[in-house]
Amino acid sequence: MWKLAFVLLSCVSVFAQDEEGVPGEEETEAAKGGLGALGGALSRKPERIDFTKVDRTIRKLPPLKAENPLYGLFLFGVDGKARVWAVLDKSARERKEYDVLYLDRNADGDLSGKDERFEGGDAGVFAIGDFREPGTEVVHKALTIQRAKGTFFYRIQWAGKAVLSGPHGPTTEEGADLACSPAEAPVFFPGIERPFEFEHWMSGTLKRGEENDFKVFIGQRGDRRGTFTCVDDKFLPEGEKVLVQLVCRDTAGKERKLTAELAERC
Amino acid sequence: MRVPKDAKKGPAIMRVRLPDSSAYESYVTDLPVTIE
Repeated sequence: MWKLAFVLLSCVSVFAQDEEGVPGEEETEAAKGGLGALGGALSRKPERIDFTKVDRTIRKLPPLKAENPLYGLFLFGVDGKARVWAVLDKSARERKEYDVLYLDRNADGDLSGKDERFEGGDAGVFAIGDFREPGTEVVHKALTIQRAKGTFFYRIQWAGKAVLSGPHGPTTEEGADLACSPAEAPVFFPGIERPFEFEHWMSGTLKRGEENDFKVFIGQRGDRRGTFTCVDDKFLPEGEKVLVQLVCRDTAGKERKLTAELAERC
Repeated sequence: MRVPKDAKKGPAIMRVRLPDSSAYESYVTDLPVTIE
């Protein structure tokens, strides 16, 4: 339940029937006239990342002691070109928990640099601190990576603008864990510079004729279910509401579109 | 959120985005939902 402190959730307060309030992708883009909302940093809408084409090569690893080291890959940059591997190891083969982290903080594929090894102690909490985004002068603060009792988690203060956390799935049980090989490793993609996406939070089932909560995370997707990185509930300007549109059919088979605003945060 | 009584049971889509007035950009994200 500790994840909840870092999550933006929204709850429906208004629900109007049969409106066209949530246009499709093309309409949205045309209406906005392109980007520019993020300080003019982007002049085009970035393509969605094809995670199947992400290079999973690790150029060099230090000697690892764990029988089953664990792997995860973070992407940075608007196009996700900077690849930062995180590899969990043990200080001794017989240890139960992973207490050593190798983080390829300069994204050169070599995790053997002396400033790329971190110790997490018995709690498996790796306090990285400042993290300069590879290839840029942007410094993120208070990067923390944790894995304890099979649960993986990260948190970072993003360029002084947002607190990001992950990985999140649509339920408490579905946050992705690290994997036993680079080929199977989950891919996480933190950031706020790209257009945002959304993920369920415990709200995939709606009951007819009843009031239903619908809650979402806002952030960026990774390569699979459970790899979502979200902003916190303070990120969006006060009063700004996420729009949703339920697209369903009625019992006569006619398509219905019902729009709403997600007004609450928690 | 009140789902109409005459909504058909089964899979549906919740289409989510930020408003046009937002300071931020979003992709339209279709999240699968189930109506019971």
